[in-house]
Amino acid sequence: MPVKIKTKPYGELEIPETNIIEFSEGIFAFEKLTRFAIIPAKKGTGFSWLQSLEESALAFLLMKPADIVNNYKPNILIESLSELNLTSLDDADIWGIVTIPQGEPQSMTINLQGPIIINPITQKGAQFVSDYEGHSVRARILELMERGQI
Amino acid sequence: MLVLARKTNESIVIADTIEILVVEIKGDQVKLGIKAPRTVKVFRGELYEEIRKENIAASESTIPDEMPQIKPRKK
Repeated sequence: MPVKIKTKPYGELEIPETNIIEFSEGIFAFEKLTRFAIIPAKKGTGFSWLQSLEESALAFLLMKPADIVNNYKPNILIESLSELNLTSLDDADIWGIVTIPQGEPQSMTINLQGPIIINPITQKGAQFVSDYEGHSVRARILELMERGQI
Repeated sequence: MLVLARKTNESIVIADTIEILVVEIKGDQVKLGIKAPRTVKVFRGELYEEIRKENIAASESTIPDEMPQIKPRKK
């Protein structure tokens, strides 16, 4: 069943109900917002939007770290995945939030320290903390792509 | 905020399930041991703060018209 939503980048949009993800604890700094939708971006290969359904002016750009590097694995306790009904990261969608500084797109970064992890089956998601010094909160995307690994 | 004075090898217990033990005190650094159920998330406070700040910065981002070429990695 398609659902009509209001989005920051594209105004009103119809999306499949399966693209709606519940973040029961919100994401850091936005703890009260719990319902989001994943929307593929129309321009900029590999981006998606994480659109708040409760606050249409709030949306984050996402990229899958696996599209950039071959060795990113969040350093988290596997037990903490139980809140998403997951027992392993293999069944999860792992995203990083992207920051594009205004006027300097070549300096865009991805947050590898605070990955967004989603169980696509139960449509539950959460932001985790990857406690590993190589996982920067602002990892340069173009440099990572060049290297192909962290 | 509750403030408690503790010495090495003394601990505090929170909600019957979480114990925080002072393992070592050296200069201005304290080593803490934390016993908690595996589902309780424990992080260094500054990681939280950094991610909060970055989320706020990221929420202002849009895709500019002049975008560098991004080609997803071939798997």
